[in-house]
Formats: sequence, C-alpha cells, structure tokens
Amino acid sequence: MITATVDAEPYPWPYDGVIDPAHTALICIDWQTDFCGPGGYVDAMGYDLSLTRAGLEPTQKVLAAVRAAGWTVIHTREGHRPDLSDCPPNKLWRSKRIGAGIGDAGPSGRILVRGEVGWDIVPEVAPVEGEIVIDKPGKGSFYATDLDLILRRRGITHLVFTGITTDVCVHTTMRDANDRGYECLLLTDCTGATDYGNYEAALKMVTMQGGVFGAIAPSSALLAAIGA
Amino acid sequence: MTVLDSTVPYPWPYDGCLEPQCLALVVAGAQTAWAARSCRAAEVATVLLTVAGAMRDIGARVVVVRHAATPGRRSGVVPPAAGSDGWRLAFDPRPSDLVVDAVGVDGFHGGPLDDVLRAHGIDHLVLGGFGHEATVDSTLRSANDRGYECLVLRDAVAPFDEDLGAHALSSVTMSGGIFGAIGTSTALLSALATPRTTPDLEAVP
Repeated sequence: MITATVDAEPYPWPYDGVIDPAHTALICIDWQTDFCGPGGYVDAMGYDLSLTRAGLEPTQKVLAAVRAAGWTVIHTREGHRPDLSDCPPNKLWRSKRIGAGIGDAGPSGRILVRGEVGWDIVPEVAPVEGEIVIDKPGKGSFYATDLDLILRRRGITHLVFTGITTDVCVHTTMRDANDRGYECLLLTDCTGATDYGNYEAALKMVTMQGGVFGAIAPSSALLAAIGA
Repeated sequence: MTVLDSTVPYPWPYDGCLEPQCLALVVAGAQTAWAARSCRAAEVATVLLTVAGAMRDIGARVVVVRHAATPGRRSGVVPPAAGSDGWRLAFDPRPSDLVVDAVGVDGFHGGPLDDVLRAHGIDHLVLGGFGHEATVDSTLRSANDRGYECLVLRDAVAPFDEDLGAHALSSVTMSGGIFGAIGTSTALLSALATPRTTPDLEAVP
C-alpha cells in the first residue's frame, strides 16, 4: 500500500490518498490493430495512425512498472461475433456507408470481428500470462461484459486508464466506471484520438466541475508517485 | 421513408423510420444543478419546450431524466444529491411525459431508462438537455451501445463550456457517426410536420 497521491488535475489523485496494488487496476483500452495498426479499421477510414499510436511507448513503461508493483492489469478489445449477431444494425449500416464495413474483408482480416488479425492487441502492449482480457461489442467496456463483476470480485476500487481512442472508447469506459463509484485516473500521454482537438477536449472534460469523471495526469506523475 | 437531410454525418435516422410510436425526446440533466452551470440555459430551455410540444402533438414520448449522485462517492456539486435543491427538475413534465431516475451522469445507469424505452417500443432517440458534455453525452454513448438510433439537437443542448460542447458534437460525427448524428430543432420540427411514407429498410448503400 502506498500512501501517496499523483500530481493530477483537477485534484491530487486518488481522493483517498491511497494507491494500493491490491485495489488498483490498470485498464488498457482497445490497443488493437483495427485502431492503431497498419491495415486496421482506423487506417482503412483514412485517419492519421500516428495520433492513435502516440501513447504506445509511454504505456509500455507504465505496464512494466505496474506489473512489477503487482497491480491487476486488464485489457479490452472491441469486436463482434463472426455472424455479427451482437452488432446493432445502425452501427453496421454506418460502417458500410463510409466504406469500412464491419465484417467486410480488410487488409487485416474481417473488420472488427473477433479472432481476426486486425482485432488482436498490437504486440507492443500485448497481455502477458495471467492478465484479463475483456471482449466488448460496444464503445463502453461495462455494457454487455463481465468487467464490473471481475473488478468487484478482486476488490478493485481504483482504475488507471490508457488506450484509444480518448474521446470514444476510453471516455465512455471512464464515464461508466465513475458512475459505478470507481476512482478514475486517465494518463494523458498514454491515449490518443483520431482528431487532436477532440483528444484535448476529452481530457479537459474529465476535469470539469471539480473532476466530474475523475482526474488526469501524465504517466510520469503516476510513475513518480509509485516510486517506479 | 422520412429522413432529415440536414443532419451530419448522415441523413438521420439510418432506417428512415421516423414513426411517433418509436420516437422519444430524451431530456438529460433536466435539473437545476445542471442548468445553473450551463451556458445558454434559458435559450435551450425554450427550444426544449418547443420540441417537447411538437413531440407530444404527434404522439411521441418525452422522457425527462433526473440524475442523482452515486451514494458513497467523493462528493461533488453534480450530479446533485437526491432530494437536494439542485436535484429538482428544471423542465416541467406534462402528465404524458415519463420522468426517469438515474444514478450518476449517464441516464441509463442505476435506473429503469432502458426498460422504460423498450417497454414503450421506443428505439429512436432525440437528445437534448443541460450539462451537455456530461449528461447528454454520457446518455448518448450508452444509448448508442444499446442499439438506439440517436440524434443530438445542437440547439437543444446547453454545455458547461462552449468549446468543450463543440468538441463533444464533433466526436459524435467521427467514423461516419460513431454515436449517431447531430442536427437542429428546426430540421426535426420540419420533418415531423411532413407526411410520412412507408419505411424503406432496403436502403443500405
């Protein structure tokens, strides 16, 4: 147990001043080829991959530090069943309309389909033996998954987030976690979005109204707080 | 087939099915705590009343979400504590409206919103409200993951901060409409006044 706080905005995180490896988890959101690898879904839509890949290197350092400290590490992946039975029809329609249809053949296999090459987590931040992987059909990591059950079963109360994209899957998951009473911190250099302005705005939104969704800090501040 | 041709990034709704029995206006953050901290609250309240009136006139539901703070959580001003002054409604519901309680910022969390919408056969949502980047945006995200077809009315949302509100709208339009579409109350009101034709479900490009 570490009685210390991270130099975060808009308040020193966590609110209770305790970072206990037994009650803290690192959540790595959707570091999948579909979102940050060549030939994935985001690449197929023509977005600049360097924006979603920017957080990979700092996330590797954080992963090494929290693994050494004994934290729970959880990875998430967005993807659908091969028969697309868990894909809402409007989500499918929108993806086809912009030429990156979910389930259609892409350079890394069928887009956003579980088991395909594009759906897997990129090697830089891949899960190691014993880490939990959550498969989700939506943007949020709590809806239609067993994430909440697993966190409560382990007694996890504090969550630190990395991943992509900041304004979509990371924000949705952090908002959901915050409503469920988890104390949340987003690492600003360990996340990215397809639009830089939306990345910056998503970070600021966390700090609204005294920290309506939790707090934000660079990974260096977290590493300093836990003595890594 | 009825769609709003001025919505972005696609003509909403995707299935052209703008039927009153499937449609609801969801007013998120409909309380004094959110409204008091929002820009353009009075102006947005007027737009919400106009849209609500048009929805009631065609027989579509108006759903008012009342958020309360998560018990035991570090306390903040928003969401307001249940029963506090800030928790009181800032939007006056009519008898046909549905007032739904939620725990947290997301209107779907800790309350019956999903059950209520499904029980009424509603799967198309028009969203507005106060504390836009928080309440409307969180509720939109949850609705979209659940398969609801969502439209955010840019003139019916009052943000904490104008710049952050604009970015929240921008995020909706990414990747071909990652959470749905955005439009104006004028476009919606005009479409609701247009006679509807048979939906064309084969219209996938």
